[in-house]
Amino acid sequence: MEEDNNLRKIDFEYGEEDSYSYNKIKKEYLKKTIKFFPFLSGLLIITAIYFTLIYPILLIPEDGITITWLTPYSFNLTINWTVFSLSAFLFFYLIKILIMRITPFLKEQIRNDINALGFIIKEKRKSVIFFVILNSISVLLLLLIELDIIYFNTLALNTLFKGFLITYLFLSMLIPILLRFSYDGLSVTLKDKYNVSIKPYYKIRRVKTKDSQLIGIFITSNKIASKFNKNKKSLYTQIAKSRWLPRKRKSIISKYRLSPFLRFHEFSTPVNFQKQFLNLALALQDWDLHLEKINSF
Amino acid sequence: MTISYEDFIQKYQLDDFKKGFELRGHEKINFYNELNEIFKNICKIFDKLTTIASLRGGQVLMSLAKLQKSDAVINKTDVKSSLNIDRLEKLMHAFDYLEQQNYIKIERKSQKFHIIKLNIDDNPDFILFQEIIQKFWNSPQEEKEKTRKWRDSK
Repeated sequence: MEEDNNLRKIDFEYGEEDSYSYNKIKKEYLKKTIKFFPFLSGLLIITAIYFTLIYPILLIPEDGITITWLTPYSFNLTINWTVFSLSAFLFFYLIKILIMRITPFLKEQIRNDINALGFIIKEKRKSVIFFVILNSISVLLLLLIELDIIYFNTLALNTLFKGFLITYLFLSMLIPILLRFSYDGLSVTLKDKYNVSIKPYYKIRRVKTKDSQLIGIFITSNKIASKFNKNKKSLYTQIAKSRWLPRKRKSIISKYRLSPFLRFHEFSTPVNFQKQFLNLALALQDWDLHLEKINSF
Repeated sequence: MTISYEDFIQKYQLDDFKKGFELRGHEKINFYNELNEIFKNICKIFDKLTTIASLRGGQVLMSLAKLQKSDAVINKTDVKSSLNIDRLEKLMHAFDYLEQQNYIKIERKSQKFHIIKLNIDDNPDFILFQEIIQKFWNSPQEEKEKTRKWRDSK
């Protein structure tokens, strides 16, 4: 067993083992995908059944022709919103798990490297907290409306409140989903103001050449300044050039390209992860020290 | 700012053999700083190139060159610690390769204790390599300490 563990640990070190590691990680990822697939499809089926079969029946009015026994049903707005928001959030939550190509083996490798440098890696899940808080308020508001506790006599106030409610409901769904895609993930706090996010990348589809079996790790700092601040941008460029840091993250769809903020980026493979991580950490240190100097003048 | 070797030669007219070469005051300081900058950049290039290569041979050479600054005996574990690598097995291929290529000498004192050093006798270029590395290169262990100090500072 111990021998097996040792073999696992040296996987990334030698050329001939690269394919083995890549295939192992890919296999783990596919296993994870298969595991989540029934959850995703189950969720979609339940939601679809609810909104296409159960909900229309329940909507038949009390004075309807046949199904009068369904009249005790109430709070349909609250229940519908709860079902809809929960299933929509869960859907995107699971999608993100699939998109994030982190597998237990890869996570263990990264964690070991980070721990050896004296830092701690954390998995951020702020979207869940935001979802719970924002949606609890949504459900409470809808419940109060259905209980006639929130009620407006005047048309103007009523319209204004409706507008507010629709905007709020929309945002209470959108914010957690956006956070899930942009914020959640593996993160390392370097210092109070500075943290680094880590995203592994490798090809899922069948690859024939060994070169395509590269396992890459994107390391990205938090926002450090606005792109429109000329002095800071010049300092950023200077540090990035001196440390050979790429100034753009090379991916087809990168949210960072459109962002108005500056971040340091670095790319590594599992073999040189520590070195590249330290390079980015030291770039942030250079940035911090330069800013301190500028501020002290 | 990166200075080019050609610009440096031109700036101080080092290839003009008709004129005498004399530096005074600030000129001498600038000359020294720019020369240092060139070597610093060469060292950075070494560092980046050895990071790109998957076999850690280049990094082992750099680490050895750095550690040889002290007169102490260097063993494989010292190199491992200097490169901030968790297990010696990760460097075994590199040690074997460098020994085969005659870049390093390994004295096997016991089964586990192996003294290693750069083979300067057969590779005299290592003298300059050693000087550049010792002056300008920070080992991963030093970088780690630097990052930790920064993290713990207020």
